[in-house]
Amino acid sequence: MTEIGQPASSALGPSQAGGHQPANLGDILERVLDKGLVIAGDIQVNLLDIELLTIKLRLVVASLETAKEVGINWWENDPWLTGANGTRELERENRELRARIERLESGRAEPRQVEAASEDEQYEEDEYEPVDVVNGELAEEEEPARDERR
Amino acid sequence: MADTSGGWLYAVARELDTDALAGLRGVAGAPVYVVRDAGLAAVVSAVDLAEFGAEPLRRNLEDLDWLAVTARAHDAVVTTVGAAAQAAVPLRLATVCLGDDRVRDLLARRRPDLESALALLTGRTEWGVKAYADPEALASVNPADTAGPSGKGGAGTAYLLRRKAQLSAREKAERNAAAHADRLHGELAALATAARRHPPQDPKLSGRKGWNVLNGAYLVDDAKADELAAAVDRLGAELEGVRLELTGPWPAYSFAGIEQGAEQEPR
Amino acid sequence: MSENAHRNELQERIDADPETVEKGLVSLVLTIVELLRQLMERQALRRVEDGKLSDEQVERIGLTLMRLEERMGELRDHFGLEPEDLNIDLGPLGPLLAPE
Repeated sequence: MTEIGQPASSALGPSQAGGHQPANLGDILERVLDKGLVIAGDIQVNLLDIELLTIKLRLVVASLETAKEVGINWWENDPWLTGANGTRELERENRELRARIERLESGRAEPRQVEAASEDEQYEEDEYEPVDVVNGELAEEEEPARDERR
Repeated sequence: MADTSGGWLYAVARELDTDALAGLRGVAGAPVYVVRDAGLAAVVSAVDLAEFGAEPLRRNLEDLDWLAVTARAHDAVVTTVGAAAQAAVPLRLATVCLGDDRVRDLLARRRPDLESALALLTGRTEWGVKAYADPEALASVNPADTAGPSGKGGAGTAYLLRRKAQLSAREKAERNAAAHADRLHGELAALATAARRHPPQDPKLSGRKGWNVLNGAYLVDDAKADELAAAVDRLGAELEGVRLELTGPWPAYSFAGIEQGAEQEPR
Repeated sequence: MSENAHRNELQERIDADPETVEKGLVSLVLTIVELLRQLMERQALRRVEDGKLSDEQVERIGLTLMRLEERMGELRDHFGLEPEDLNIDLGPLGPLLAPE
């Protein structure tokens, strides 16, 4: 039986009875997964998710979970990665901002924060400048203090 | 068909010589049989829903081992059917029906699409052509680009100039590769009834080095198959820094779907 | 590479033994660093081309980028990674980093 499509010259391309077999797995997968007539059978399968080309990314995500299971979790304690230093900075800024809002809302001119004491309190006091009241309005000249910190 | 089994569909054919399917095994080693409906023959295997039901299937499809074996088995059956029929429409992997009646329903429901696909594919075969570019061969760094204004700057400046030259050489190589690919596709498509460009292949799956600048599929009249092969030979020799690879004959997977946004409409 | 050897290579990467797992994490991190390095380099080159930088500034930027590239190489070597290993495939969008 003549294979349909078999070229007369067999010098080019595979010419065994099986046609293109054995073929590159990539060639086969990209055809059977993505091409071919799409008919809704009774079993719903979303083949778009089966993108082998993104398997590496899923590998890495899975690696993170597996790594933790086998006790590799150095990133959870590394100060640079957890931003331990950076977090303090953010917390401080938050406190100052909240205090500022408080004062503005209550119309007071408070030179100091009245938040709960923390180990950074001293640092805050050094950095924090009194708010001036000029003509009954609050002057917000705190930029210099902020810049200094950076 | 029992409640625990379903029907895995491979292809739908016209004028199928069923003798050629004797002894043929498909996915999970299951034998194949035919379900007919007015001139259309669906080729099916009975499969266990424990392995091919919705949930198990989803899981198995993510298992590279299972997927590779199943995909090859599916493709082998589709290929055999194509060779044993006047024309056959390959179906995508994992089309499963619950019972022969459902298969017949499906044939009746999708008859128009199936008929037009069969018409397109009759007497034609799909061939694949991939082109790999060698970045180095396509563009070389111009020595003039690396020399800055004479005498100026130290190692840092020299580094920047070198990087700039490399990047523009790379951009040039990319442009050349894309131009070659476009020209290639155009010449090959001219020999075909229909042509499509697929996304480039992942080197991890293909095992090939170099940029995959063209991954084309061409639906060619059987009488023109030789012409296509000859053209691939000629173009491969003509284009510097580009290596061509011809694969096939393939069942016409790339041209079976009507709704896929093909770049070129069949002529 | 033969197809079987190739599938084995791919299969190896899917095995979840601790060494492979850590390598996967490291290559992800280094890929991001490499992406940033490439972006910075391109931006620096654009600024240099604009011609608005002094020779000193150009030299300083160049030295920094050069050292950064060296450092990336050292990190890769340390973890036994090839340049091709530092990449993420975004599926239909292609790879994250253009092949160099």
